[in-house]
Amino acid sequence: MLRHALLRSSQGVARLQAPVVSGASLFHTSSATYSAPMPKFGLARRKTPKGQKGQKKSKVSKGTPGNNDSFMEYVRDKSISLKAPSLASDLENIEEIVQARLTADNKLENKDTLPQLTKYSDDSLKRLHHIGAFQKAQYHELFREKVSLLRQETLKICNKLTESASKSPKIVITGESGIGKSTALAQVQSYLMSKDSIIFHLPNVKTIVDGTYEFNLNSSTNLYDQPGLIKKVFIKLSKSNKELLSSIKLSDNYTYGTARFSPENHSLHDLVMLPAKVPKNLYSSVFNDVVKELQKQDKYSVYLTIDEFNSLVEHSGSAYRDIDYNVIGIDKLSMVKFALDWIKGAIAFPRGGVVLANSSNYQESSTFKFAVGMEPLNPFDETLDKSLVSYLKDVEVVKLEKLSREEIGELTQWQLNNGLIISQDISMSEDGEVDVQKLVNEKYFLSSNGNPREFIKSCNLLYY
Amino acid sequence: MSYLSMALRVLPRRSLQKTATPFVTRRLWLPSACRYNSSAAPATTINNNQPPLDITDKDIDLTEDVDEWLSAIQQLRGEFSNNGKTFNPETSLAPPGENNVYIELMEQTQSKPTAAQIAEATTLRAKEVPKKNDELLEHCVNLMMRHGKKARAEKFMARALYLMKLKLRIDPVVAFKDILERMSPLMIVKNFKNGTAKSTNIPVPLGRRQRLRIAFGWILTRASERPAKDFSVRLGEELIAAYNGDSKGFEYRAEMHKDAIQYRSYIKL
Repeated sequence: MLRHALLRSSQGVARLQAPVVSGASLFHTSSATYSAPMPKFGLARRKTPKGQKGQKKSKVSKGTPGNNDSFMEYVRDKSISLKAPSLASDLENIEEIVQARLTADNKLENKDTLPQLTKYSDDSLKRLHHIGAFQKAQYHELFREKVSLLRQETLKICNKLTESASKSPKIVITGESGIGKSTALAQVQSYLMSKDSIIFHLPNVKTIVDGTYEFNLNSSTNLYDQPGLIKKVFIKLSKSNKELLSSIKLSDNYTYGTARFSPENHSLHDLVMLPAKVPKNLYSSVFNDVVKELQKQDKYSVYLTIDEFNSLVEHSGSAYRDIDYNVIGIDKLSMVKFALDWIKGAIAFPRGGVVLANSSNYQESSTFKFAVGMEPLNPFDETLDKSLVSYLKDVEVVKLEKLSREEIGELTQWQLNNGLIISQDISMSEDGEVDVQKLVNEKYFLSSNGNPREFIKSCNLLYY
Repeated sequence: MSYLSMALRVLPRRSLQKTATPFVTRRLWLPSACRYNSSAAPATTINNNQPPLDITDKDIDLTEDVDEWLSAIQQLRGEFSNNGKTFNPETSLAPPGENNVYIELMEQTQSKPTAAQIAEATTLRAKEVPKKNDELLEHCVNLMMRHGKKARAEKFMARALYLMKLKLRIDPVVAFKDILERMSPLMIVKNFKNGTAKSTNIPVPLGRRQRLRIAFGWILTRASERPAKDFSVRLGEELIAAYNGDSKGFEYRAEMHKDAIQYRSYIKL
């Protein structure tokens, strides 16, 4: 029986050393050795040679360079935002403002009261949290409430959606990094929620095509199902639309394995809850039935919302492979196919629409740009995916422009009121009073360049 | 895309119309769940059954355009060649009826400043040009910097100050300076050797920059012992603790002062 002492050098490299048995030769077979009590072996540590200083090991494990997650997590801690001053009394709810503006049609183009800082109503805030509408680097920790700037573009989108809900308008929000695409989407979602509509939100769409979920071939549809994804989507759907779904009664009897649903005893919410009795291989048929039920009802309008949409259609092939090791196209994944069909108009609901928002973390592919009319056809583009173009043809682009001087002024005044602008900058004004206009013209309109995220950064993260 | 770049791309590759492939090639990597349900029938690959899109050969045919461009180039060459002679801008670009280009020099008019402008200039000269960066903050950033990565050090400092702003709800730069002023020692005991066997310890006053440097060094060492993963969080937490008077740096300061008092008889006045 060989025993090995594991030696660890000062650099942390494990080495094997010859067996050490006291008072015996190396490979002898004397039974006396084994009858003797075993010597204790421990991890030996080689001492650093004299004259050389060993490297000091830091007591804490440092994160990898360039990893912002630990900082973001720390900042998002509730104890920080709870210490922030409460602003509830100052601000109006988004939903009320949009509603008031949209009922008076002639006032829509009137820019007198916009831009306006707003907050979400308590009800929609809860539902937005369930959806996951608030992202990491949005600097919400600065205030106790989720504050956002209501802009003209949001009103336009809301107007388009509610005016022609029966035609099911399709809108994609684009714009540069940090311009407020996700915020605009959240505002539109909150307005739609206040109008009693069901929000069908697809979360983290990049994970649908990047091989995160397990998948299997559905022989009846010849598409690939992702049961884990369906479960996740249903959780979001049920949490964010609980009251609406539970008021819709089922129109038919459904049986999945031992789980049975009847119109008398069950609502659509029970189906969406996806009880443990339902076997995993039947998730896709439950999904189809839920969509059918939503199509049959005429009570509520149904909206599809996707954030980071361009990450979904960045490439025409997914990261999945079939049994012949061929790339599976994104339209062969059942969930993506469902979303694209909805966008195309192949799946229709009595009332509703589609609101998509792009992300600047992913590129807008040439196919996407050509399909939605942002770019003319480039005949030499070999990456053009014709099938994807046919899906995205009817989508209308709403591009968020840079903030105007007045909008930056509004934000500056807001930061100033809450003591978030450092005294170095405030002393720029000549008189005793703070000259906001000067502050905007000479500093913040230039440093932010009309970009809201850059504005918040220049107020709070630049001291040089 | 400009016409020229389009022409450059199309001319050497006339066979492009026939061999264009519609699909992106993606990087090859196999997800963990790839072989799931591998016994099932193979799916049709993405290259089949494409719905037709009305991109015709007309869109790609550029022969007419190329002829136009070539004729334009010929025309320009004719204009610049100047009847068979070599191109010379002085003669070739002459207006019709003249042999050469004459560029008349503008008379230099000497402008005289008005009284109001002079007054404005004097007032502006009296004003101090504000410095781009805060001196103390820059000094501390330089102390934090490792391997010459200043932007990285600036990011750490900015985030630490942001944490102070969030947690304390005060102007972080003012608070930062306040902490350093409060923590910094006034005197240091230095060992002087006078050539013989005897050496003496003499308390010496510190300059402002020296004092603040020592205090920030303490803050950095204490911060590195904190458990947080991100350095900016460690520094921010330490700064917040120091602002509340709960930092080891104050004890170090008291010790240094105690030493200085002990050796006060050696002070040379």
